[in-house]
Amino acid sequence: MTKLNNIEKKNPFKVPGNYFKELPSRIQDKITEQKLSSSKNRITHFLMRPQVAAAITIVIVSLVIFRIFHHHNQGIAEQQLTENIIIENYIDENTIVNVMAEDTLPYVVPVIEKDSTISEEELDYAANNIDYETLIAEL
Amino acid sequence: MNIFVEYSDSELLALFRDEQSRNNAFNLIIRKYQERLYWHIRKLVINHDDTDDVLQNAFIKIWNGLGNFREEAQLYTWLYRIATNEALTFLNSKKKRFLLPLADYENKLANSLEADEYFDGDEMQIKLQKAILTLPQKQRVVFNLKYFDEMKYEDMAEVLQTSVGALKASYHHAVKKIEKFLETD
Repeated sequence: MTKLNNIEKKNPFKVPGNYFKELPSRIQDKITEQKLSSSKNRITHFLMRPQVAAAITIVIVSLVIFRIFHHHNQGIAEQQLTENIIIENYIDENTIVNVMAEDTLPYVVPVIEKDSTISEEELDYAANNIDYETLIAEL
Repeated sequence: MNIFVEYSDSELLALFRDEQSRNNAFNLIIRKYQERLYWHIRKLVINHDDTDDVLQNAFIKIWNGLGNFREEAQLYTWLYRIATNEALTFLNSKKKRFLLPLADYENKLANSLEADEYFDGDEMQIKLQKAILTLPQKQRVVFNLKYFDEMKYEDMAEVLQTSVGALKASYHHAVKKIEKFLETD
């Protein structure tokens, strides 16, 4: 019978060169990776907890409701503002038209009252015989 | 001068418990035990790449569990226990993946030895490895720890959570089977 004692006791396996030199840093890198992914997972797990998920849902729903409500109120306020502007504009236009009408009337329709004491012939004579020197001196 | 001072296990554990020196302590633990654990795993899973994966996973488990390690047990037997469990889990997962009985998978491993670029044994060494691969998984672990690593039965009992008597009997049966294989094959 072949006895174990007759076989040389040696390790027949080998490793690639530098394997044991590089292994500690490879393991440390893996552990760092694991730490990073586990911190991400912790956040995900935290967010997946029913209480947290319910709280987030409530906050989101509240924000949506607030936004809709705010938007609705803002719409009403804007509508009122628009109406006010329209009324103001309307008033302004009328006022301006009136003011303009009041202001322009004396110029648009100048009233020249006819002096009944001066005859047509006298006027023609005056027009044809203007004394320019006297007129300039008077001005 | 050797820059890696050989710390005792309890010194390493004390350094590991301190947040400031934890990474450095773990690096020293890896450097102290990587070779022993590598060869232990390698004799079980045979292939270098598989051993590398198993060893890295084992060290990650060691990192995750070392904070809770109580010094009632020895650090090195605890490390061996994790490495052994990882190796056996790996072999069982391989068996499931290839839908093979474990004996067939180990027969495949035995046949791969001759072509393995990282195997340097002569004909007798190949024969011995093939004989070891015929043993049931746990018996292989017992045989390897006793024959190659020359581990004390008391320490093996801590690693495998078995009684010293059961281990002695298991080793005795393993030797008989191996000698029979060597004679007949």
